[in-house]
Formats: sequence, C-alpha cells, structure tokens
Amino acid sequence: MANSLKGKIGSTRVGVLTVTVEEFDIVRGLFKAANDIPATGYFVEQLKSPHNYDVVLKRINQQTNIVSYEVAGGLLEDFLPELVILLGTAGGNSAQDHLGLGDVVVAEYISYAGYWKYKEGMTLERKLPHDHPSNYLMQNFIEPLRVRTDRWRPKIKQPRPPEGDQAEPKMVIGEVVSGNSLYGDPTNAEQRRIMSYFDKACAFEMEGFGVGRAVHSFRNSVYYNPQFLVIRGVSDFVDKYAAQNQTSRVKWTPYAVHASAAVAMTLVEQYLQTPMEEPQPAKQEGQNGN
Amino acid sequence: MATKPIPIFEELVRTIGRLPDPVPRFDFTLGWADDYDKLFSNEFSERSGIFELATKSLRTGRALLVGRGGSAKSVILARVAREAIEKGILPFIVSLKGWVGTSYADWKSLSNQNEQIAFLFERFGISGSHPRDADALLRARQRLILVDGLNEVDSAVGQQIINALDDYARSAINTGIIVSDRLVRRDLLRPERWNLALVLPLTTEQIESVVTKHLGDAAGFRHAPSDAKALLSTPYFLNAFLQNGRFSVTESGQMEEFFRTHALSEKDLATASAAAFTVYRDSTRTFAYETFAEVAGADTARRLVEAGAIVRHGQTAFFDHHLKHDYLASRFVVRNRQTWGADTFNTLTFHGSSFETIAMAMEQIGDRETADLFLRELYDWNIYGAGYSIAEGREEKVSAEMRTIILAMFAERQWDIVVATSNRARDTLRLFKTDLARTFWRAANLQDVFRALEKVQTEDPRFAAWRTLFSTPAGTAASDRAVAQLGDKDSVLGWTAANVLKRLKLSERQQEDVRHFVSTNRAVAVRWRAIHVLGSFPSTPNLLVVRDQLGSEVSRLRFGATRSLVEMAAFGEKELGERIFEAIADRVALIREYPSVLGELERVLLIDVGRAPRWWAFVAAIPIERLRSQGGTQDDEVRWTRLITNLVAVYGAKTADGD
Repeated sequence: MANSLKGKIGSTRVGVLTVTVEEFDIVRGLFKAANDIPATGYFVEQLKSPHNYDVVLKRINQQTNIVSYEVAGGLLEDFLPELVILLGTAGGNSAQDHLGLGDVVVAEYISYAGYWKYKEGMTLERKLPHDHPSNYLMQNFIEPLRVRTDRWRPKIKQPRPPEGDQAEPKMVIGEVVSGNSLYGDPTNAEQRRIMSYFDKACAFEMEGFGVGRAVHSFRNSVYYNPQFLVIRGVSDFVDKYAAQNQTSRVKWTPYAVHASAAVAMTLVEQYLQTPMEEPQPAKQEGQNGN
Repeated sequence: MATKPIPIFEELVRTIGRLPDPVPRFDFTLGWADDYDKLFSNEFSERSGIFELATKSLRTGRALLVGRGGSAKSVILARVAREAIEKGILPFIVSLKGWVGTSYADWKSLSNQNEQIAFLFERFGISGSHPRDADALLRARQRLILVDGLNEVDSAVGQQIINALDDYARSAINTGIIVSDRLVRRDLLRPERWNLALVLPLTTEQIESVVTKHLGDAAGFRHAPSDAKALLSTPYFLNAFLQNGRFSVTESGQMEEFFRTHALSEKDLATASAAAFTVYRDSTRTFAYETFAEVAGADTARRLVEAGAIVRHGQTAFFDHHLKHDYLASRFVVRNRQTWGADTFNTLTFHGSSFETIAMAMEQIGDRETADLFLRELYDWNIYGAGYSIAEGREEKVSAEMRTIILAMFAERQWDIVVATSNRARDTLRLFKTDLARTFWRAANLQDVFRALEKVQTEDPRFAAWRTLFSTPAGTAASDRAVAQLGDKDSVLGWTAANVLKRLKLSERQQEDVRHFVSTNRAVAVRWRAIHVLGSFPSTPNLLVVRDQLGSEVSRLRFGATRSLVEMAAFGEKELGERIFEAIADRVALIREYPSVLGELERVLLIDVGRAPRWWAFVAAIPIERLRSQGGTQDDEVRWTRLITNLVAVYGAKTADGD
C-alpha cells in the first residue's frame, strides 16, 4: 500500500538510495528489487500500474553531494516518498564509541565539510540549509534497534571477516560528516584538519548532506513531511592504518553493506507495518468545485 | 485569529478572465521536439494542440514554449490558463514583460533560489493569489505556473530564472511549469525533464480560411508574393492584415505601415525611433514614459499612446507589442550608420539575448552593399548575431559571396573543441534553409566544407582571395601575409585569418608577431582576433600575453582571453595546463567583474570529451575551486560545486587508489 501523495511517476512509502555498484547489487538483492521501471533507473520488487510501491530503490551513480542531491531530488520528485534511506559504507572514526569495522553508524545529525571560505590565513566554515535525519525515525525505530540488536543482526548473511576487534557488529548513533573528498589518507593535512574540526564525528562520507539538502528543498509545504536517514556500515578507518586503508575497505565493504542493509531492512519492515495516511477526499469549495 | 478559506478559484477566474483574448481566434499547433538539436532542425516527434503544454508539464514538471516574436506565445499561455480553469486546474501567470531596468539590480541582490522565486511571483505575478494559497488543495487540485517572456530579460538573468524554475518544478507538488521563450538554446539543468514545443506557423489553409471568413475573399492572399504569405503565417502579422487589409513582405514593412497609418510622419518616426532605442539601454521593454517623451517629443509620444501603440501605466510605459518597439529601435540603428558597433548592437539585442531586432534591422537595409557592410560590423561584434541577421530567409539581403563566407565560418565551428560553441554553430546553420547550409551541416569534416566551397561559382576576386585563405589545409605552414591579415580592417578577412591561423603551423617569429598584435594594436577587434589565434598555440610566452588581457579594460578582450587560455590548456601539456588554470584562478576577481566573462569561463571548460586530456577535470577545476573558496551566495556555491561535479562526471578524476 503506497502513500497518498503522488510524484511525477507514482508513489512509494520508502525510497532507498545506495552509491557504489557493489552496495547497490547487495542491497537490491536483499530488498528483492529485481525489476526496473524502464528508462528511470528505479528498481522495485514487482512492477505495478499505476506505479504505487512500498519500496523503490535507486543508485546514486557517482560520489559527491551534488550528485546525491540530484538523485535524491529526483526520487522525491518522482515518488514523494514518506521516507528516504541512504545506505552504504563510510570511513569510521575509531576514537568514537569504540567504533569497529563492520559496525553500523546511523547519523544523528549531518555536518557538511564541503563549504569553506579561505580568507587571510583563516578557514571559515560556511553553511547551506539542509535537513537532519528524522527525529521520528530515530526515536521510534532506530533507538529500539540500537538496543535490540537481535532484531537485525540475524539478517546479516555475509560472513564476517576474521580480523575484527569484536565478534558482532553494534550500532552507533552520532555525527556523520559529509564532504566532497574521499578521506583515505589519515596523514593528509586537509583530512586531518577536517577530522580535528569535527572531533565528535563517528563517520565520514560523501552523500548524506546532498540527500539532506534534497529533503530540505521539498519541505516547502505543510502537507508533505518527508523523513530521511543515513545508515552506514564502517568499511575502514579515517584516523588510522593509512597503509591498510584500501585493503580494509575491500575486505570489509561487503560485510559493512550487509550490516547497514540489515538495519535498514528491519526498519523498513517495521515502518511498513505502521498505517499509512488516510487518503483525503477532494474538497468541494465554490461553484467551480474548489 | 480564525482561519478563513481563500476564494482562490474565483480570484484566478477573475484574473485570467481579464487577459486579452484576441479575435479572430487562430488555432495553434505545437511541434514537440526531443531536444534543442531537433527543435532547431524542425524535427518533431509529435504535433498537438496547445493544452498539451499543460498535460506534459504536469507529467514531468516542465514545458518550454518556444516561438518567434509575434507567434502568439502570450496568447497561447492565456488560452491554456483559461482551459486549465475550465478543467479545475489552478493557473498562476508570471509575466516578465513588466521587468524594468531596476529589476536587474534587485535580482542581483537575491542570494538564493527561494528569494528568486518569491521575487518572480511577488513582482511579476499577475494575480493577487500566490501558488502557496493553493497548498491546502494540493491533493485535489493541480497547479500550473505559466511564466511568460523569458526572452524579456538578458540572457544571463534568463538562464538564472530558468534554473530557479527548474528547481522549483522539482519540489512543487502536483504542479507543472510552462515557460515561454524565443528560439534560443538554454542550458537546462535537467533537460530530460523538459518538454520542448515550438509554435508552428499557421498553415496556408488556416490563413485562407480566416481571411475568407473575415474579409469575405482570400484572393488577395492567394495572389500575394511568397514573402508576404510567409509573413502572414505569423499570427501577429495575419492579425494586422485582417485589421487593415494591407500586407507587407517583411515584419519591418508591416510595422512601418502601422506607424505611418496611425500616428507618425517621417520626422516623427525618426524621433520616436531614437527614443525607442534610447529606452532599450536598460535592457528592458518597460521604460520611463518621460524619458521616451523627452527624446521623441511630447506630441509624438502622446500620439503613440492615443494610437494604442504605447501603453502607459503612471510613470512607466511599454509598447503594446514588443515588435513595434523592436522595429523603431532597429530603424534608428539602420539610419545611423555611424553608431554601428558593439555598444549599439548590445543595446539593440539586450546584450546578445535576442537577435530578432538585428534581423529587423537587416530587413530595412535596401541595398546589398550596405547590407554587406552591416554584416561585417556585426561580425566583429558577435558571429551569431551576424549569422542570425541573414538566416530564416533573409539570405538574399546580402551578396551570395557574403552569405557563403558566413556559413563557412559556422561550418568550421561545428568542430570547435568547446562543446557550447559547436552546439551553437550547428543551431545557427540549421536556421538557414539553403542547400549550401545543409551541405555544411551534413559535412563530416572540414575537407567536405572545402570541397563544397570549390563548387561555388563567383567572379568576385575578393571572394576568391577569401576562399584561398579559408581553404588552407590544417597543419600547413602559415604565410606572413596571413598573419598580417589579422590586422585587416575588413572584419571578415581579419576573423577568417584568425580562424585559419589557428589550424596552421606558426613559427616562433610569427607567434611573436601575433603577440605583438595583442599587446600593441589599438583596435580592440584586432587584439581579440590575435588572442583568439594564440589559444591554439600553447606556450609560456603566449600564456603570459593572453593572461595579461584578463585585466583589460575591455570586456570583450577578457572574454576572448578566458576562452583562449582554456583552449591553450586543452591543447598543451599538463604542466602548462596547471599553470594556465592557476593564472586564471589568481584572476577570478577580474573575471567576476563581467557576468559574460564569468559565463564564458563556465562554458569553455566543457570541451569535447574525445579530445580532452585525461587530466582535464583535475586541472580545469582549479579556478572553480578558487571561486568557491572566495565565498558568495548559496547559489554561487551550488553553481560552482555543480560545475566541478560535472567536470568530474564527464572527464573523470580517478584517485590513486581507484576510488
């Protein structure tokens, strides 16, 4: 049962976005999104006419927040989803909350690290309007899942690489920093500056801000209230192991994607159990029917 | 405070009901094209009635209605709005015809698209209602936003407006946007979501039917010259014909007929023309009535108001149709040859936004010698303006040799490394309906163009000399004579020399001669040509000379230098490319001083993918990063980030570890 507001193509209750091909293939398999809506890039479990779905999946075909802004904006325009989830991997900050490889970070808030003004030896942060992850979803779905890891851990079908510091993944809720650069070298001066500036950050990625900005741009009516979340599996660390960074990412990405997708799937299953908005009858006003 | 329902529907019915609905009513047909290339080529995937504008825009959010002046775009939008009301859809019209000189400053002060959209609705919305007033109805009611007259503002602002509308269309629920514009290529943010429609000319059968109905007999039309018949396929001119039973073979002829019949003597026409040109200096169609009257004379101005040609609202005024204003302004230019030059042409065209006034000026020139001269002056200002002045059936105004030369110049530009230049050259070629234009358009390479030129029969020795120069094969050694021709007073020869030299081999001494032109020649056009040449010869000395032109007091030279530096980088090694873009980055403040130069930098970075060096994205992004880091509005941030992302997407930027 899809929501009552219709976008340019149709409607969906949940829109899921991933970035890399590897992430997309894994998530598409887990969500059983086998069928594409022709010439759109959207995948669904089963095509319907009209296009009213529970879950629609799309890949953000390139890193950086500008691209995620465009793709998320397109998803919102085409389907007006109630909920948008950005899924995938991120570089973790091992200094926060004993974060380990394969853990899942859910963004409590997003900090944008791509807009600075360099002036007379100073680096000044500049801000752009954007949404933060949904408080409603954090309170009612994510926090319970953080406590009840037994609800999502069993959904992880990917074997866990043996080198981890812990036996099972955990969920960490905290700051996610979203920039337009890959943070793959802990010795890089700009990366160190960013990490020092956002000293409470749990994870670093390149798309969350774009999705938050797209959601914010749709917040222009009291009658549409889209919610969004960023759920990231930790595939490598941005603060240590410079030499092993790429190796770690290759080894841990499949598991990290599965872990984040397990959280997302559990959330979506629970969310779809909630009743959808009652369709509103057309109002009759005046002679011409408005 | 109690909430009270807003009678929005009734308000919109009243507003739309007040819009003029000219009679007789013509039936319009729209041709739908998949993209701008097909639009310019008149290749339509579908033909439809006008309400399809609403249907398609509600389906994908956006529709662009394109047509020439007088093609009844405003009438069509009003009619779509009326039909929308009948179908229970809420139409909101924004008319940019009210844009005045001060609007540019107001617009510039807006820092983001929310402010821009609010400005458009509040300042130019014709209804007392705002789309937000219909928010409560968004599940039950569709909304149409009809923006009339994108061409009423200069091209830079027009581009910003269409970008803002594109973003607005994205998030406006249950809403479609329709924008009317002239036939110019805009850079659409999301072209796949735009539906492009052209107002098709009225058919002979339609015209005969209307003429018979209103004049009782269509014999006069049937026996009219073909040019006159063609003119009557434009609704504005057919309507004028029905009003007075007289027709002309040109738009300007029809306009002169109107003014002479209704209001003005030869002397009045001269002063009114001067006034019309004067008030175009602000690049707006709405002007201060007193300013007009001061130049035209109070009596002439009053008679124009009485004849209905000028509509006065308090202190401001505008012509009832912009074609009348265009005619008068272009008449002034044609009759004042001493004014021909960049400043005048910029005034006449709103800085190159609309070339229809240039075309109207060309129509009024009586002899080929003067027309050739006018064309040469245009060529030194803007090659596209020169092309448009003789396109769409005006080819015969100039000599066969001149139009061949102009077409050949566009033909070569089809293979320009800058994508925007290549696109625009093809667009212009498609506006010509001659066999030679089609041959050039279909040419696979420059050799095909040379071969076609060989077949042109001429006894004009100047054309023969031009052809010899133009047909010099790429890669051959340049003659000193060709280098010297850069300084030719004849713009066509000078620019031909510049274009040809770019594809030849120049010795170091010859390049030094070209640099000498840049540094010392007093003629701006000659310096520009020389800068143009150096773009094809990447070297440190050439970089230094062209770089210094970024600080020129003449915007055209900054414009040319920006382009040539980027070309130089594209043709050179990475190390030089980095130095070039660092040099540009160090001077972005100078580039920023002129929106046209900044726009050129934005455009020329997008070069032919097949010829782009693999490091292009990394290096080309250097000045754009500098622009970002200097701060600015939110829109600036989005604009530059979007460009960098586009560079990376198109040209790639792999990191060492492959991510």
